[in-house]
Amino acid sequence: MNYFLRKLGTSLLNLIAVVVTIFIVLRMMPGDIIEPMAREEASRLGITYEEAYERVADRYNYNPQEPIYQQLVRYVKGLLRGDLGTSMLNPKNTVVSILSVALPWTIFVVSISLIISFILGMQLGALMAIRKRGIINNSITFYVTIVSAIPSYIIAIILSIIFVYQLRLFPKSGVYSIDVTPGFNMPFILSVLHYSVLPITTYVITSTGGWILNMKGSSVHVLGSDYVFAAQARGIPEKIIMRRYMKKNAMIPMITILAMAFGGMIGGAPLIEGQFQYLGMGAYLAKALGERDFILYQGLLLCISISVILANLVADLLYSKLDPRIRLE
Amino acid sequence: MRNLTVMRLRQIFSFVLILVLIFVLTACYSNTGNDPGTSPTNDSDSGPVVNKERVKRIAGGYWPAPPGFGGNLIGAQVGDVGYYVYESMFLVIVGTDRVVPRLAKEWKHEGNKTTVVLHDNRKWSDGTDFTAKDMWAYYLININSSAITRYLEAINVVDDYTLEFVWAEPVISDTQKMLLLAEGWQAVTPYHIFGEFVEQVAEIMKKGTPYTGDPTKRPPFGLVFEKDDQTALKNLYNDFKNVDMEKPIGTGPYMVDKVTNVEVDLVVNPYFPDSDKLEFQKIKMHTVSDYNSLLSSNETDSFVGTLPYDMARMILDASGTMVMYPLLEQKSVGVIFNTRVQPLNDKLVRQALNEVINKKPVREVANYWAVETGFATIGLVPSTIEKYVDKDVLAKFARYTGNTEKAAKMLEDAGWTKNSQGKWVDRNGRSYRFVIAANAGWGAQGITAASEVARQLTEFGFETEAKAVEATIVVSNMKAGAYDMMIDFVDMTWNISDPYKAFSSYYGDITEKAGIDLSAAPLILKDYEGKELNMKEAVSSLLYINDEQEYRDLVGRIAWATNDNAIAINLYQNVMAIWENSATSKGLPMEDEFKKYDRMMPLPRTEEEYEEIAILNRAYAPFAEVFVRNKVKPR
Amino acid sequence: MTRLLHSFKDFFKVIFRNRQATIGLFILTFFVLLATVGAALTPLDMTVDYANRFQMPSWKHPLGTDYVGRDILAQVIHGSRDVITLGVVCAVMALGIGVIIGSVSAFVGGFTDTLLSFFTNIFLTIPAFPLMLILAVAFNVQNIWAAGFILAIVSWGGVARVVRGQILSLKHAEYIIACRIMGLKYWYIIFKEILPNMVSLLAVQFIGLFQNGIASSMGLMMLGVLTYRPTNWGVMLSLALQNTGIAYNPKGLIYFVTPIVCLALLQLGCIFFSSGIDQALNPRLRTE
Repeated sequence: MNYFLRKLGTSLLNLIAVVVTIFIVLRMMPGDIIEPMAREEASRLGITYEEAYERVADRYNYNPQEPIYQQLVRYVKGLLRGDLGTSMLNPKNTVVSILSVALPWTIFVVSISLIISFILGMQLGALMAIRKRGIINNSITFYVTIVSAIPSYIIAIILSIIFVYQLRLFPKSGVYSIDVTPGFNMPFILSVLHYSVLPITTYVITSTGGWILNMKGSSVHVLGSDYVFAAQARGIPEKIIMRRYMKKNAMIPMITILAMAFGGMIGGAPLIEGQFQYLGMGAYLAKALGERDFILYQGLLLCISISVILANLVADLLYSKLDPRIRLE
Repeated sequence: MRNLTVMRLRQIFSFVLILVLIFVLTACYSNTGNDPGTSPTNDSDSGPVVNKERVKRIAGGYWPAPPGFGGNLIGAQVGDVGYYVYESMFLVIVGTDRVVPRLAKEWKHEGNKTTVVLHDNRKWSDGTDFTAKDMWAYYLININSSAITRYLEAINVVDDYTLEFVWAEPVISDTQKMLLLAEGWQAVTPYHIFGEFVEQVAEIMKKGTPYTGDPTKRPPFGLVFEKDDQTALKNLYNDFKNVDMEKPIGTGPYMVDKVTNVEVDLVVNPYFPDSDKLEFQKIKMHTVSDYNSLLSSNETDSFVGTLPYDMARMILDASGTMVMYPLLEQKSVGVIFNTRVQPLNDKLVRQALNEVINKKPVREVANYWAVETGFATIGLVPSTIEKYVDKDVLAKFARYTGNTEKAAKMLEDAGWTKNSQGKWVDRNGRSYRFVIAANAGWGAQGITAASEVARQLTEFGFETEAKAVEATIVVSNMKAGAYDMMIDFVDMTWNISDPYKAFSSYYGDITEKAGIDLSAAPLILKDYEGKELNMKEAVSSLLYINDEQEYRDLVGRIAWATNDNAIAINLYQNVMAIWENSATSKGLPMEDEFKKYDRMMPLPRTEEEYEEIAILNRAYAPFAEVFVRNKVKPR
Repeated sequence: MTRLLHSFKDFFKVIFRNRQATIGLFILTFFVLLATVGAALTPLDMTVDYANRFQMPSWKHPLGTDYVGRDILAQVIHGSRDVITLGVVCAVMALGIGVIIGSVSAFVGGFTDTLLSFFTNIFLTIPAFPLMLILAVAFNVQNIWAAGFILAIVSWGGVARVVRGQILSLKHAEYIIACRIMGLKYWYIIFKEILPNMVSLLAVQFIGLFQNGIASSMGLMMLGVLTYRPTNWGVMLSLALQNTGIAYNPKGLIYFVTPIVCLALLQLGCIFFSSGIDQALNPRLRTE
């Protein structure tokens, strides 16, 4: 209990430090964001650059002259009231509304992908550790290398070309069809599933490799340890060694990595979101950063930081539960 | 060991099988009609299919993703959807500068007043009548950011459908009046929604005091405000931003039906006159991340964007029905010199460097379709120069051909020599290295052009390095003098190609990047007759010239002086391509020549052809001009 | 001295006994030679020759030409120098910082651990791009070392966390406890006993950092920290993508595939060689 409380305390401190650091780091970013936005606006509206600059500058709700300390105090006061703020550019975008749109999709796609690639990675990694050589080992290594060398957006494009345009099996982009109304009805749910298959597939293809290698490394390490050797010497059947010794012990670091991956997943997978226009946290983060929309960015990042820190907490606790040797630290 | 492996393999196999099953099941869903009745599916080579639904699918475009999407244009909630929903008093066709009346019925210039009579049968898409007050509201909301307000004394609402524009002295020429009246998206802020705040702006305006100062710095409506009033105006802009509108409300032919982050469905605005006679009854705007596949599988009807030559050819062949029209943009890409540093402060060196650059390979690397110009930099959009400058004056312009020997001679005449390592040194024996910056936000076009220019300069004898710099930093850095050269737009306008517009953005934005501070000291150049011109004053005086010949004369002088001063190198004029789907539309321009050019059409040859094609691009003739003109019809 | 030589000989004996590792070693040596000797021997001509674009491999152009007619092989060779140097610099720096902080944090424990974990967490949550932008503008140097340093600062957090986790579990192994009872110094224990057991883990981290470095090099070029060079494999890939669209220009397939194959080979070499190092340093794995 003591341990838990201590960990919780440090996590909270962590969170505060992160919020403050991000706040300051963002406002230290150099450059004039209004300039490129004004040029775009000028082209679109058919007005001159100077006029567009005025319009965008007026629209942009940020006063760089205000001292950072004041801005921080104001922001924190808002946070304590539960108000995450509104976007600095488009007042219709409250941070909460963006979160409610982006978060569900990210969690949906990434958690399914994580689970699938975790399971696959575990099985294949353990397999590779058992059979130290052989065609299975080689082909998996080959697959992993190829897939990790090819940037994920290219895999996404290839899948897209095959399944969307050639075979016309899946939709081009988006999260659900424009013709269904969101809600708990069958067409909507089916549409959501339909639109999510390709992003999930891409994600699984690109991330399974990492899990396989991790699991293999962990298993190899366990297999090389004394107690396994001793068990083999004692004549315990391989099946039991694998199940009782290797699996559990190799999984310990994997579980912690999984917990952290769940925490980190809230940040989304920007490349895949970009390719399939599957707007999740990653896409909105990137957009907010590109537009220097600090409030929106901070709000999204706060959400991500909370989940990462929470996941770390869970991982640490799990670790101490699963590995009795660490319990007393 | 063996049994273990087999068991494990079986586990893995069954797991993967389940996944594949799910994959296949969801794939089958697509065949149960989830995207109903929208696009006419064109099965590769079965020829054109009847576009019964009269739908136009338009690829590309930007709009804020829901929940950010709304109707408030001031709050940036509309994006490119506005091209189909809104209208303005007048429409200007980019490239030809032809003014086409839309909401205006008649207009008359008398002395310092222009009276505009609007149509009396127009309604907003929510049913409210459209009146002159709606137009007046637009100008008041954008009081600080609309160019026209700086030339006006007042805008009076005479009656429900008549507006009176009172111009300030000195009164600008009639052409310029029309161009200013046609600028921008105007009927975008309905009075019945924004009215309460507009009235407050009008109240504050009554408290303004008349401006008496430098006429070139005249504030909007010639009024000067107290500090408190200025803050009040700023806060009012915030209020404008926060007005909550679910969908854009416009007087245009279409209105928004449904929105997702990748698709917008537009249906006909029932209040638009003769809305049932509109050829296309539905518009779908859709975005994807990869337009190549979209085009080659005929999944769209309209798209604007350039592709490298081979890819364009392949896509046209794969699609079988897509047609590509290249069109000159009103922008040129060029190299801007930092005229503050040595040796670029010497005009002869700049002219020599202009001669060095062979523009063809730069064009091939960056944008294959672009058109090179032989000038250094003229301030005008190059393709319009014959329209605004007389032939005999044009013959006096310096031309550059990329002849490195000639350039070497030019440098030698100025006292430069080549040292033992093949680098050029000036009279004092000093050699120079250059850094050329490119805007990273442009993607490959900017930086590849920069590295090719750098390579050519290095080969010639000036060590040059190309750097890509982040979009938000590069311009302010250049204005502060951090780089020797920068790849950017030169000789361009944002929309209207009239020389005044081109020159005023040149002697402002571009000279600032070149390090010339026009507010500190006037820039005085000589024209082809040796007469001295104060550039800024000369450009401003263009506004007031009514006589066409006098206008052309002055334009010729300014352009010549700009070319002679050579603060930039005009590499090429940008070209963009408009793609249309001949399977779903008929009546497209140059239809009878599709076979001859195998659907990769040449640049338009006459101004008429240019206009026919230009209005296909919503940015060139906004407010769905092409759909209203009814020349292009669904098949 | 003889002991050092002897251990070197031992090391290589194990490597060569393992077929995978041998292949890995050869691949890595090949690339290193390419980057050093190859770049010096091959002339690089970047003149634009549009008419000869996308040519098939021939005697003159063994890998064909790119989208404006320049030789691909020469570009690959010259690009390897930048890519490999940057990848190695970034990975080594990030690994160095991460290992030191992670191992001190895990080993010393207590308040130091909490403090260092805190520090690591902050760096893990700060988004990469703003930090890189600020550093790039603040430092305003452009060479490989600055670029590697910036990338290292952005990516050491993950390494530190993983290292800390692993050491925490290793800390309680019997042989370590024995070392501590014997009174051996911390640094000795870390470098002689713990690190060799973590080699495979570190190798995986290295590969990830290396790949990340190469991928981020594009980003750094756009920030102006590195000079833009079309020979950099990442840049080649993006130019190829833009000018061929993968499926829309079959003649450009080689231009598109070449950087991918090079990157894949490099990674393969690393992975294979790392399995060999694992066995060389951890005799218990040598049973096969």
